[in-house]
Amino acid sequence: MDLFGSFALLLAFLCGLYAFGGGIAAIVTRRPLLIKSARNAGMAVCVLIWLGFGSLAYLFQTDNFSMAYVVEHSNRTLPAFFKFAAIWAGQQGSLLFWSFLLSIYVFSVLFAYRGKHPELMPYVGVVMVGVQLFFLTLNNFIASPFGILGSTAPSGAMQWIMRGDGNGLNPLLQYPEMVIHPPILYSGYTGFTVPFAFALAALLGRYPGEKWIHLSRRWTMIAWGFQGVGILLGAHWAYAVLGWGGYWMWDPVENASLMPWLTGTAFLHSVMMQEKRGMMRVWNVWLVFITFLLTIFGTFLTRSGVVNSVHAFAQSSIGPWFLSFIGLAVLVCLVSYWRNRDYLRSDNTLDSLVSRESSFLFNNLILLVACVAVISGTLFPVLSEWVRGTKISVGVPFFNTINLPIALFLLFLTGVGPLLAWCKTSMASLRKNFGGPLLIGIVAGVIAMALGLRGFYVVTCLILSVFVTLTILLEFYRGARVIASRANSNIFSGVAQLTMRNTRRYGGYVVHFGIVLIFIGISGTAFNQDKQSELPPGAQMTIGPYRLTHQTFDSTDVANYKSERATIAVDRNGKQIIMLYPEKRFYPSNQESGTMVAIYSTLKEDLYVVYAGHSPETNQPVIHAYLNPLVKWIWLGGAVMVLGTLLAMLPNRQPMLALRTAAEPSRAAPALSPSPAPVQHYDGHD
Amino acid sequence: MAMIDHCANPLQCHSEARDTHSVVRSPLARRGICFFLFALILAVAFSVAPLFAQAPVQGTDRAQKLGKELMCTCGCGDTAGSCSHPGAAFSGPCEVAKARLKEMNERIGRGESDSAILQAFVQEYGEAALAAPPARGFNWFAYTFPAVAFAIGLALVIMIIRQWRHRPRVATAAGPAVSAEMLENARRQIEREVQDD
Repeated sequence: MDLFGSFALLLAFLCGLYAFGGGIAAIVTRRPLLIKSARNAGMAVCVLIWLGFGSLAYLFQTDNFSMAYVVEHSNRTLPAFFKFAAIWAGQQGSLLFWSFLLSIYVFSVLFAYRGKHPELMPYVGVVMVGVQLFFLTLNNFIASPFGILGSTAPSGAMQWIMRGDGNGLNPLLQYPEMVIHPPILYSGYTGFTVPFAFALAALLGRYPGEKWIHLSRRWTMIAWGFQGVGILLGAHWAYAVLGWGGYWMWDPVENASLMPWLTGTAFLHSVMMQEKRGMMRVWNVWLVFITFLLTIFGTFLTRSGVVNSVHAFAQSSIGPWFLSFIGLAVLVCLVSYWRNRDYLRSDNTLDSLVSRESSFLFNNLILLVACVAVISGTLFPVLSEWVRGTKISVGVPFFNTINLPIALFLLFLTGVGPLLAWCKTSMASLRKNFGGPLLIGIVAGVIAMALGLRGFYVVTCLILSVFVTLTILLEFYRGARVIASRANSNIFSGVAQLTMRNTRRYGGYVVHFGIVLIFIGISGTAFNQDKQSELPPGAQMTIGPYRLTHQTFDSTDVANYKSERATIAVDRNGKQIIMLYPEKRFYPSNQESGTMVAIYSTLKEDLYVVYAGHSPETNQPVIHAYLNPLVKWIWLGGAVMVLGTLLAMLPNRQPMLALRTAAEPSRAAPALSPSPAPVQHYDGHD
Repeated sequence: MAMIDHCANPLQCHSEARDTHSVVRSPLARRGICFFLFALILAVAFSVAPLFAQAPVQGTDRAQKLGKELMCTCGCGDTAGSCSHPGAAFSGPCEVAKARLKEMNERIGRGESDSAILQAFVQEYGEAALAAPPARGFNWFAYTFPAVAFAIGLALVIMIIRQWRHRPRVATAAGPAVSAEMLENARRQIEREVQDD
């Protein structure tokens, strides 16, 4: 099966070369058969990659310990679903997994648009297969997961070795979330290849109009949604597994995933300017290019060892390959732009500074500044060492100092932007739309301060959260009220109809509300508490309103690990509320340990209990308890964002009610509507 | 709720839909909104109220708090005050972090100020000991770069807005008035053309 996998990948590479070269030839010659042949070759590449990936999965599931990669990341007692997750536990497997996910996008795009858009799709196919070829080069020649174990016999000949068992999977990865977090995050990274391919194809082919944006919009949202969910799942994994009480530590790998998400968010907003007004064509194309380049740059950062990261399992000397590919991609983008820049020319006009258009410009500015701040902080240690020869650390305090004001300004724009009208908004409209929410936000802030809340950022975050929430609710309420009054239905039905008539706009509002919830959750960090103490059975410790009693202590041997578990009774105001079972696991196969954190989570706060193990000095069990306010709001916000993204991807429903009214006047109130009511169209993108 | 007071090119403006929201607000509806907003404020106030009962930003002690400004060099990537050393036999502060915290406690015991303690660590272990680079010399670059990027970006945005505002508009060609029916047909045609998105 190892030979099968290697062969499938090699064949995929050769097929990819044909699809790439044939695609270029098809563009030049315009021969329909060649176009079809290149497209089919592109789809065949994907099928071959799936076979290669499937064979690696099979090797893991069948404990084939003649394979170096399987030995390194699996063992016999590892549960089947972790054997599947072990595929992306190391450099080689994760690169093949990247290829696999990318191939799903490539296949979907080539298949979905087969025979359509003949002026555009050959270019799209060439760009996507080109990216796929780069990863296939890595999979075949630089970091193949199909290397076999071998040794040199006394005769000098190479002989295969079959190990009895493997080294096992890193304990930090033996957590159910690790089975879904990397696939989702990688789906985001790889998904940005689709809008990149469409943008570059439209530029190269000088494809008229904004059609490429319509074609790639849902793909962009899928990639963006996956990236966002992947980031949040990663944060949740760090929170629940690493046992340090936090969810985000500005590690280079975390930063690498945030950067394309920020520029992708900027693109999702600014693209509306192009759709609505035909503006910012150059900017949008470059935003897509930058987003794609950042996905590759992020991968380079996390795998090259250029910056120190806790995600050390995937570091290697693969960096120059990524740098070369980034260089080539930048060159292609620059040359394509320079040769076709007249195609992107647009007559940008603006009526007023206070308008939706300018709010998008500011939104883009802030998102890009946030991205620049993250990049500069991540790379500053490298720059400092290069310039001064001194190594420095750039940790959480630095990133918080720089990014908090930027994030709060962005939150402010989240509330302001959607309520500004296209073209121009008058001061009267501003007062009408923002006066109330802003006033109520300030009142909420004052009440909070009177109750004792302190901290500039926390109070500002509270004020802005109330402000943004109210503006969103008012937007829903006003629209729904009109529909409800016309249809004689209730406000909830009005909200549902309103949302379904313009899913993109109202789905976007739901995403904004999710962002607000996440901000509220993050603001709770300012009030975190923690306490660590030795806690022999029967002893107690207190944190916040909770009293923790260590009741019993037990240890068990499971096939894959040995476990030590503390049973902690949690009381609040003298009343027992829950039993928690924090656990420490030892994995003999790789001689490493892992923690299973016990969390009592409420909307108000998380009681987060870690059994740290036995104190090296006194041999007593040590319990580390954290009280983390409002953390649940972050995960709740993530769920709301997913809901909003899904809503925004749904097609708009036609305004059936209004049309029906036009055709047959309402029976309930014939006297009030003697003539057909005007049709109100809420369709379109906003 | 009319949001637009003026638009040079009404065909491009899509804010007309907002005008459809203009319905006379009944006193009952106004009371409903007030009640709803009041309830929302209360909900937010109650949700954050538990925070007030707790003393803000409490570490276990001063050394622990100060330890969060020093890096732990065990490879965990965390600070000495919050090192949990995942993957090791003991998921608490590692030996490196413990040594840092112990040294900090000793210095606190000697009555040294926070800045003096941090400075002593910098002298002993270099600037890499700090979780955030001190804002001086070349390090200023790290702190000011995002601000400079913002300033440059802001200047560009303002310049672009000014340029766009003063750009001459293309005059609308004179011709027969476009009927609602023609507009509707055009809209349907556009929808048909983009249906395969």
